[in-house]
Amino acid sequence: MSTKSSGTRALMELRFPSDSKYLHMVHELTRLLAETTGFETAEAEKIALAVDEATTNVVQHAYGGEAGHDIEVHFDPEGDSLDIVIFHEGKPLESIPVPAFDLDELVAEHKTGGLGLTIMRQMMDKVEHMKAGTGKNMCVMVRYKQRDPKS
Amino acid sequence: MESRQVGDVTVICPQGFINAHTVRQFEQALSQALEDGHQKILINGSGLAYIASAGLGVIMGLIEDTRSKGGDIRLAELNDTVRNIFEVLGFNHLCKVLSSEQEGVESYHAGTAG
Repeated sequence: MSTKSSGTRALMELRFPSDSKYLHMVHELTRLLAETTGFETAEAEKIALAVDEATTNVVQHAYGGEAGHDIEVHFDPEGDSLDIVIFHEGKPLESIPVPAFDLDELVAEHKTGGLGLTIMRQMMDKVEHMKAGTGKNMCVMVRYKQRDPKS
Repeated sequence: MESRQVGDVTVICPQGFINAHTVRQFEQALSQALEDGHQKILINGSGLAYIASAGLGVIMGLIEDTRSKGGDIRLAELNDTVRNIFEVLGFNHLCKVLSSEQEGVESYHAGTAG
């Protein structure tokens, strides 16, 4: 996937430790950034929730809940989209199998997880986990400013 | 997390946000009510700014057992952000969502199934 932020310096960068106490901070910063760069409040909330879920996955699954690791979030709001790239050096998230979302099945099996990636995909136009050129793992998310009305 | 009894309905009032960092308090409030034998749960979302997958997962994991014991988990007074995530994931079909706490409490007395 080609994005504005994947190969060059992002317009804004945030680095924080792999601790769940920072998730709300990332959520709020993302919401404010999205609002500042032209998204309506309701849309900014969706983007913030997607980033919250993506960073939660890094804290809990890539780093296994272990504190003390770095997470970087790069934002590029220029042009027709807001591109967000989350970098980490934990377990590659694309290697973790994610079953197709089926709420009835999750409820029947008393599952408490399995919703995060679905939220990310619903709230953003593109979501992809891949390896960066630097060797770090990254989650690339893109949200277009003019979204398909049916989305 | 504030929790109070309105007749036989336990009203739980999360404040702020529910994400992976705060979800344990929400889970404990629900689990405590169920352990105490209160199976009719109403989550009053008037103070809730947003709920992430961790919080939704708690509801998802408890609702079947609660219903099998004759109770339910219902919600009221959700803001647009929370309502939207419910609709996106289909939770509005899983859980009864009422516009006010009073309606939520009354929904249990009307004998409507969740």
